[in-house]
Amino acid sequence: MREDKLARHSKAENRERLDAFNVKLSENCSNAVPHDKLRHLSEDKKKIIEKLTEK
Amino acid sequence: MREPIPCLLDADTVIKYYIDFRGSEIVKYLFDESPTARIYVTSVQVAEVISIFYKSCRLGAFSETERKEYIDTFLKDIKENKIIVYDYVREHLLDFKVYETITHIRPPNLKPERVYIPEFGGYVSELKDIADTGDTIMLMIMREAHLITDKKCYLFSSDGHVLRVADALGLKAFNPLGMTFNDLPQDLDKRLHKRKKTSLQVICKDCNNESVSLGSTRTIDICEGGVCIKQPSTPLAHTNRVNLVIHNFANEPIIKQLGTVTHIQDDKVSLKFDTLLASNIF
Repeated sequence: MREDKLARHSKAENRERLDAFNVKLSENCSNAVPHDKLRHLSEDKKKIIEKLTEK
Repeated sequence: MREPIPCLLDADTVIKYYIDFRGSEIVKYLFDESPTARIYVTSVQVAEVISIFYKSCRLGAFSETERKEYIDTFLKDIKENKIIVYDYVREHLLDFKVYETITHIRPPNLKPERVYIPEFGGYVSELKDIADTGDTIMLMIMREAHLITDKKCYLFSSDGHVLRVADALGLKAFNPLGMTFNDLPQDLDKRLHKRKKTSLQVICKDCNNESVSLGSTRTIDICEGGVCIKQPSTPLAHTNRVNLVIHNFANEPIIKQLGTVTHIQDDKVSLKFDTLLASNIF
């Protein structure tokens, strides 16, 4: 394993905040925007995501 | 007060709430308009949704800034309980009783489909992708939810394999890709009354001047509170007010009502009547 990967792995192992997800939720989600703003993607960009999601 | 109804969504269906695709109308209805739907995702699928946003960014569908906006908006929806995360680890792995329940689940009786290949002049068995871990967990949770809620819960997925397994297990599952509002179960519908599918002639007229016709069309379904019709020749828009004259099969006018357009999907228009009809009229 490469050293940087090892370092990342050991960082994860020693993680103190096991409830990191809830901590993230308790923060402000400061980048959140109204849903309508997210939906204005161009057709070609939508196609990229549609390809990722449709099975 | 109508009882909340759990709706378990897979990751690909959740994405349709944030990006407009085929099927997004149904997903948006569940999130924003259904008076009863409570949106659930499994904790595994939270990671799956976030991963789709990361992958989309890597493939150039949006910038780093936009990726942060998508992820934070999704997390904010979880924080505000618009999406409830079903914690698989806490609810299942730590509860050993669940394993006993799972052993009662019969394996689905799925047979590979036979496909004719003209080049070989014969049939082969179509290979199916096996459901991934996230899908399996979702189906297990859904199976339990069905037992707990006496089948008053729904699964939404556009994954053909998941839908086939769900069907074989007797779970109530829907594919948002191929459905319309009229296919939604009655208990998720904001219309309170039971709809009757019927094709009656409707004449649409201007709400302020009855002599101005907006065209003749047909009903798709009708209930005491409103009607769903095909778009008339003069297209109706959201919130338009319309005078409706509905005829019976003998071509006699049986309903004259003022209605407001509440929904439009493809060529279908839903209108809410100003006053309730008598239930025996249609």
